[in-house]
Amino acid sequence: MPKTILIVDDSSTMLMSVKATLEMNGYAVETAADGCKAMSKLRAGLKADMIITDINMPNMGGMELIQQVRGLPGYRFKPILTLTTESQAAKRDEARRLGATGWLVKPVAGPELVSVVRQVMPG
Amino acid sequence: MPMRRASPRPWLVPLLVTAFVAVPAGVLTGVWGAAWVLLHGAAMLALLRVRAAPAQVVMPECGPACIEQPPPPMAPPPPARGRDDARDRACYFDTLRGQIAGAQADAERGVTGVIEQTIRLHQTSSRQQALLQRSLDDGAALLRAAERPEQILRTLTEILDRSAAERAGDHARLEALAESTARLRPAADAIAKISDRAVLLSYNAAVEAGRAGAAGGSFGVVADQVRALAESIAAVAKTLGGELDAIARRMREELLASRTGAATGIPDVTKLTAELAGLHEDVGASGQTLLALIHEIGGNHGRLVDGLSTILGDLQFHDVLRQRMEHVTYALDQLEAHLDAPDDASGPDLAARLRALQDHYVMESERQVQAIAQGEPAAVAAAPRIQLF
Repeated sequence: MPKTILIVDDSSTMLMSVKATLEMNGYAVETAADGCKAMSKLRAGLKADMIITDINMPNMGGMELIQQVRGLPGYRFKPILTLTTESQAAKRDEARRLGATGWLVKPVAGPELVSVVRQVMPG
Repeated sequence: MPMRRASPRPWLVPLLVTAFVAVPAGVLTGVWGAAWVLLHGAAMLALLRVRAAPAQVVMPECGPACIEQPPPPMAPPPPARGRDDARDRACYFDTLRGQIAGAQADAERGVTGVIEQTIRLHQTSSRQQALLQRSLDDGAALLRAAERPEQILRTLTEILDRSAAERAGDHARLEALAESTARLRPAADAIAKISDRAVLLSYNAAVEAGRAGAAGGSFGVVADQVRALAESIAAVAKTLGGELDAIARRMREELLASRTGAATGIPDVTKLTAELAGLHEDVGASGQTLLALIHEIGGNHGRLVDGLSTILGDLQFHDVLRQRMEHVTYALDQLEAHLDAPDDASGPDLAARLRALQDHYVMESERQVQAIAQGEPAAVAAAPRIQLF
């Protein structure tokens, strides 16, 4: 049974490319175009083993998403990676404080992304 | 960009051309040729004067120099032209926004196409991989099946070896039996000789009994009985000798036939089993080669996935580009707003708007571009691009 990763990004090409990368490497992938849609999917029963989220998105950004996901039952220790163009140290620190597992600045090479995913979600 | 200056004597080139071409042409072709060349030279002179007339305007490169050198004062446009400028400026900015949006749409279409093509490529390779996996299973089954003939061959060889040993034992026993039979023949001959002597003796006894007369009558009866018995024994001994000869002959024939069969049949079977063993080895070696090939191709699929993942990662540039374009569009909006109301004291001036752009940047590269344009040192990003907490 492959592990499920939820990708959250407002860029359709990012969703497509990251989804394809992870599926090629044996993961099941769900996508959402912003934090609101991601929360709707999780509340509707989607069991994600990991979340990869952008930070700057309409409706609900990555910071608020991390905060809300950590409040969901069963998601306290699930890995959450940010994949963003944002490079400000303050934003990085805030994400860490809210419970993010790691911070990746776009663009990230596919094999590198897969390596990080395997590192934070072994097996 | 270096300034291009017009030649101070633009008439010099056509004059030289005319002098160096018209004179020889006149000599060679006559008056009409010289006239044509002179007219051509005049036309060139006129053309050069027209092209040299406007002054070359040289724009300094953008950078700190453009900040240090204030632009030359411009005369305020007449009111009618101001209205036209406002309309043209809006059109100008709309054109820029349209170009940016078009470029973004084109880039998105292109990137989406590449991603879709990459996915199709991976699907094709995955189907190929599934077929290879089936071939791998078939190869493993073939090797397992090849092990069964090997076991059969091993058992057959053992049986043949055992059979050859048993046959050799049979031959030895037959030889021993034949020898024992042959040894019985002299005994049969001895019996025959003894019976012959007993017959002779009985004849002598019968003669002596006749001489004895009545007293020897009973002795004569015994002599007759002895003779008859001896004759019977002689006949049996003769028959026994013949039978022993026949048995010994048949045993020798059987032994010869058995040895001949062993000499021809067993090597044939041994050769057949050796050929089967060779065939089995060939099948096994071919199966191993096939499995190695399949594993190699399977490894290529893994390398393909790595390559496609790298391409997909590289395509993330599009999202970076999209966001930078959005920020440029925002900056254009700010510039247009400023140009629409340059004398509005309540709004921010251009310097304030420029500073405010920093709040909209998310990338270090964006901040660096503005810092360089403003003549400030560019900040170097210290944080790693990937950081696990």
